[in-house]
Amino acid sequence: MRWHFVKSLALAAAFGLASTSLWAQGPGGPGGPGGPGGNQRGNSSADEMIARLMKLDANQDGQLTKDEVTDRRLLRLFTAADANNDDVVTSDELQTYLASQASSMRGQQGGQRGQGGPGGPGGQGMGPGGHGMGPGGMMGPPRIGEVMPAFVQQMLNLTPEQQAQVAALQQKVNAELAAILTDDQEAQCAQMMQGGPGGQQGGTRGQGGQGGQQVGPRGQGGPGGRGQR
Amino acid sequence: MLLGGAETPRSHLLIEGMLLDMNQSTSFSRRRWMAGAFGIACFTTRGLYADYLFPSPSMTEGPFYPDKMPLDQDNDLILINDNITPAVGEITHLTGRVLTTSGEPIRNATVEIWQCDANAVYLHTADSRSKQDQQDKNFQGFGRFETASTGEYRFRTIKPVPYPGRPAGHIHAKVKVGGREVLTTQIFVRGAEGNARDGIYRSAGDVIDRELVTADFIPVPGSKIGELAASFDFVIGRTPDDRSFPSTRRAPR
Repeated sequence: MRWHFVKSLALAAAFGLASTSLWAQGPGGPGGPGGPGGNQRGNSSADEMIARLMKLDANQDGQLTKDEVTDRRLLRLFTAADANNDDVVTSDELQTYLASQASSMRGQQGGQRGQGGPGGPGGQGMGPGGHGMGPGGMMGPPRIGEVMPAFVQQMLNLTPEQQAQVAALQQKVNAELAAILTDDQEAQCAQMMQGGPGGQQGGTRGQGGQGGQQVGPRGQGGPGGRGQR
Repeated sequence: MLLGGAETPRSHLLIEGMLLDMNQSTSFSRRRWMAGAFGIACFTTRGLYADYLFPSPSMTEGPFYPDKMPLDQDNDLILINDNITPAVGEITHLTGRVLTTSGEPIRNATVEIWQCDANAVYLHTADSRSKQDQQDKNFQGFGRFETASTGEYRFRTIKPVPYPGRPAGHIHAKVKVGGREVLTTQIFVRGAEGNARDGIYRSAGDVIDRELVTADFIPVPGSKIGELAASFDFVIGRTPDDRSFPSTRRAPR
């Protein structure tokens, strides 16, 4: 009996330790509801896209043959995904193809919640990292140096003239930022924006930073983006 | 330009299809019921009214839909009226069809395109007013075409170029049917290096959506002046307000 007691005490202690260490880890705070789910969301986006393409699967056998692709505009996608060139595209081939696309282009489905983004720098106590809002369907970490994302421009109802001015400003910012950063730094920026290691998953935070004073508030998850059209 | 649907065996008629055909003024709720009941069959059988084309994704209109229509609004953006000087740029023949998601051509659809000129200036006065010296005055900047019974359209324009803040060259397009706007979207160039950096292209949707707004610009064989040809279909999905939607009765073949 006593041994059981000790064991459950030990378990409780271990659990307690585990949970506190979780908090100690992230003064940057997770990016908000969009955050920890970020990685999984990435996967379900692929699933949703595959489900969408599989609507063409007329005989419901879980794979697409070339003649099932009645929308000839998608033949190119079909051929690109058909890794073994057997004129059949399986779910696995699609997964692989999507993964390769995702790394070269961050755009995901409009209906997705944004990725949590990298945790804020330690010690700041802010956890806005999550670029969770995406009514316009802009997903992924915010582009470094972006003056004003398109969906914000729409939300603010910028006049055409204002939009043109912002575009011109963006051009200037791009040029000057390129002049400030070294090539190496630019490459790192590019990598971060493409969801390089640590940038993509909600789970991995950049180092929590030394002894964060406070746990940062969770960044806004923001409304989920508009559903897929 | 045949689609898979053109060869669909007519033996695959759906009961739903026949009912719809008999009753043009079917109420929306009744159609919903029928669509629900036969919904799965719709996708698995290539019937008369089966949806087998993905609808063209909608994309933002942007700020430069012309505020003042040019004097010449025809489908040749490279020559304005009787002007003999052509616009600067890579001449492109843009063709395609306006279709329903069942592959039916839509007649009397108005297709409009607009884009910046080779020097990245839009026709819209908000853009061109401060760039008078930069603007290519020979570029029409906007064009319009109405489809006939085949749903086909064509334009002669230039290959689109990047614009400040938009690394991906693109052609804006609008489709109107029966005086009602049914689609606003953009057309992108396959393989253009700026596409991956363009926020609007990246947010077009998923990989499928990006495919559906991307066109191949292919050199015209035998052209001595380096002309390109691009093919782009506008697929118009059903809207709730189907009563004002054109008849889905199959056009005579």
